[in-house]
Amino acid sequence: MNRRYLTEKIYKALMLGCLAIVIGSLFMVIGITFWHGGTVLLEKPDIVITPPGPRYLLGGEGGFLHATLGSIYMVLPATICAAIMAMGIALYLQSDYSSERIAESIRTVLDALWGTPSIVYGIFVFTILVYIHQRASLFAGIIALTLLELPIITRYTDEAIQMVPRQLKESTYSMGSTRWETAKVVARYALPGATAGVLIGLGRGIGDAASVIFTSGAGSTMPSGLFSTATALPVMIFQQANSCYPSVREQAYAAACVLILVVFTLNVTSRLVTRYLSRYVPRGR
Amino acid sequence: MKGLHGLRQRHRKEQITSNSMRVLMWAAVALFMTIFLLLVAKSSLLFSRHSILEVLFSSTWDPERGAFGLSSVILGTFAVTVLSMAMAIPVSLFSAIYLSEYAPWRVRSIFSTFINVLAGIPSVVFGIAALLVLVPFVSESLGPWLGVETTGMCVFTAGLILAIMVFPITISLSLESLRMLPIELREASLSMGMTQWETIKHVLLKAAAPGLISAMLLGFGRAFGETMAVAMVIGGKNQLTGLFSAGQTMPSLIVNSFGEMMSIPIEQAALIFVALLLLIIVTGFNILARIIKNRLKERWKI
Amino acid sequence: MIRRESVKGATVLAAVALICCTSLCGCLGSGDTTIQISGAWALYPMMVVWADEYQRTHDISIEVSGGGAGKGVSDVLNGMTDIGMVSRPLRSEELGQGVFYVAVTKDAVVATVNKDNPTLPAIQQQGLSREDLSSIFTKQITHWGDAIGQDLSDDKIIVLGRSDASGAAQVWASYLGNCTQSDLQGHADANYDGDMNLARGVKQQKNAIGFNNLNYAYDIETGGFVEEIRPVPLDLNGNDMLDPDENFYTSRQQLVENVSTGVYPTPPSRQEYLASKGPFQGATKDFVLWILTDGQAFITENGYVQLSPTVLQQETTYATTGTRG
Repeated sequence: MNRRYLTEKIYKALMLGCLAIVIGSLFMVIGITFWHGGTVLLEKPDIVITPPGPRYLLGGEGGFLHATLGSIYMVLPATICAAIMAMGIALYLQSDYSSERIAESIRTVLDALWGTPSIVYGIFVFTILVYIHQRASLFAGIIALTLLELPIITRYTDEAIQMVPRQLKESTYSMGSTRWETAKVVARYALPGATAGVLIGLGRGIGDAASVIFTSGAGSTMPSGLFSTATALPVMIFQQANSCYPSVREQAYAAACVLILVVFTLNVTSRLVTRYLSRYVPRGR
Repeated sequence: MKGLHGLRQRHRKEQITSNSMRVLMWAAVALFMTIFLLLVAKSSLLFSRHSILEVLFSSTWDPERGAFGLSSVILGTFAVTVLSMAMAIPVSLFSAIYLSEYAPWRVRSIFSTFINVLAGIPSVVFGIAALLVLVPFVSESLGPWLGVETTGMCVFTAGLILAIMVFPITISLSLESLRMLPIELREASLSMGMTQWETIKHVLLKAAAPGLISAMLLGFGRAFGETMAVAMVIGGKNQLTGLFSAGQTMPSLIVNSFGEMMSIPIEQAALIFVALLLLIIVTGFNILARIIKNRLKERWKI
Repeated sequence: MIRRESVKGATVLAAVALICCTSLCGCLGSGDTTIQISGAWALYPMMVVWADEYQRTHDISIEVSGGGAGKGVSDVLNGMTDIGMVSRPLRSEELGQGVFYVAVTKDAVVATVNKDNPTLPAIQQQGLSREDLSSIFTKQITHWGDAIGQDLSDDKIIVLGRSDASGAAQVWASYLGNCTQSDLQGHADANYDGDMNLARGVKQQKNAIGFNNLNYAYDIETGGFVEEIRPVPLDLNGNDMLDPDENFYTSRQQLVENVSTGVYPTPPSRQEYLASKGPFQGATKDFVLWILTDGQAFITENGYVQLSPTVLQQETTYATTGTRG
């Protein structure tokens, strides 16, 4: 009898230990980034909005505005496009539009796309670029990010739409709505979940380097147009994290800190937005 | 609501939107096919001069000499991934079990938040953390303790950081699978006098097995395809010589070599083939995970 | 209900439009001519400086991006860029596709060791010959004691290299002879992604040896030794002694002079090239000629090495005539 309870206690301690490992790793990662990057940001917060000088990579002056802007210019349009397309796809996966079998196979394909490593998306867009004789540009980066975010956002939207109670749809149909009008109602109901998905997709996009590094040029100049080269924060971190020049290195750490702060903000925003939008949904979430 | 005279208009809107959504949906399928076919087409050049057996099973990767043997790189990728899963599976399983069966819902909610934050951290940030914390730890503390000489930039460190990166997927999906089980299962088992742990071990784990396995497979797929963090700490050596020596994975090979190997068509084809192989393996795991998960859903009719 | 929805829809559209407009604004700003340059990371910082200086005095827009020497060549061959930066000798397959190139600057790769290396004083006195270095980097000699002829059996040599395909690794491999980049990678104990990473690796381990661009082996400001790494003098005539005319490693200026005059051998010093598909033309040609004349003034202060006057003359002729005949 005692042995069984002892086993129980041991396993429970083991489990708590594992949980501690997980939390510990999280704090380790965040802690080291804040320690190295936060100190830099506190000293000179304006490097986020200062453009790089000409001798930037050689330890000269300037900040990483080129990466900040590049990230914003790439991620926002990509997320918006992906969100719109995702909503369309997710709506069409409903039973009133497609048959069960087709929906299942499409979901499998979406799963496959979701799991595709981001570097494959980068190589894919890059290969197309070479094929049509175009240079690496901001636009190509946007395309790569859209493709990357699409499966993620679609999956969350799809799950949110599946949660919509059948009675809602039945009642709108019974009043003579077309499928599209019903879809609009469904979309509003699924908005909290879909928005959460969009914000997760955004977070993924802003933190991804592998797909951007081949497609958008990875330079150290300010983005000057849709078809000019640009870089993004994660790419710049990857390239500068081990520079010989301490100032260049520090900027990488500061940028990493910025990225983590952005992720935090997105997380918090996601929760707030979900709660705000849940007022459209009876019984809330 | 518009009246009967708006019927034609509404019908037209219905048609337009329905068609556009259908196009989008098939476009998603087309996307995957296009990616696959394009990679195949572009890597075919490699096979005009080398046999596939040679590419897959030779261990010499020396593009300047025309040798494109990938076996070390493939093994390296598996080694790093298996290592990371070996570390991640027990930790995440135990964590998920605790969160699902023992923790009050508030604790569960807080930890879910933590895990979501961990999930959102970009991989380059993990790479930096690995460089600053794990590499010195392995080279100065762990290595000497185990009696190995290592620079810290090795397969082990890559496995370590990958395990941390994989936690969110494995924990949250395992948690979901466990929560999905009907409460009657637990009640029946406890009513027969089993302790909570015995319930978990003998009943719940077996019941949730498909979901748990699916979670681990998805984690495997994620770890397999991870690029940035691994490239920063693995030491870029195209030969697998030991757990604490440098190695190379398929994604890190691509990101390290792409700049140089662009100008010569056959070298470019070789790298694109690596990307194709990566896609095939990862997709295989993902689809397997999905099939297994569906079996869980069928079993419990959820 | 409908109003709220259309307001939301309108906001989204407005946001998208705003973002696209701001992105496109730059497009309108740039003039008709833009010179597109891409290629080797080794030459990238210098090119950014050159582009910046040139744009101040000329009404033209220049865009520089990186990606590696191979990408530079492939971009010009595909017509995606006007100039490709190449940090290594061009390969026959590339030349066969019609690449034309001129040298615009030099830099050099030096072997580097940690300042706490037990044999450092001996190395600084005797230098290491090509054969010594070749044996070290291919792991035929494994202890520092054997490398220098002293009894130091505890100190194993830790060989470091580059994990990314790079011009520096290639030129170092060709110096050691009978060796490719992949060989070096295979023998190394650890490979780092990027020149500066490698320098840091050497800094962190006292028994390490690596190879770096001479920029990173010296302090960028003062030209003196930088923190924990030291360049390895080359014993050029193999007599196990560093003769006075071989001893030029105490400051970057000294080394740079000797690289420029060619005393420091090529390889491991190397020329950096600008490549294009066929001879340079038009605005691109003007820029390249500017680099070969006025642009040379910016080279040393940014850590690169000037070509010797004769070579410079030759390259300018090549650029003007469009052939390397």
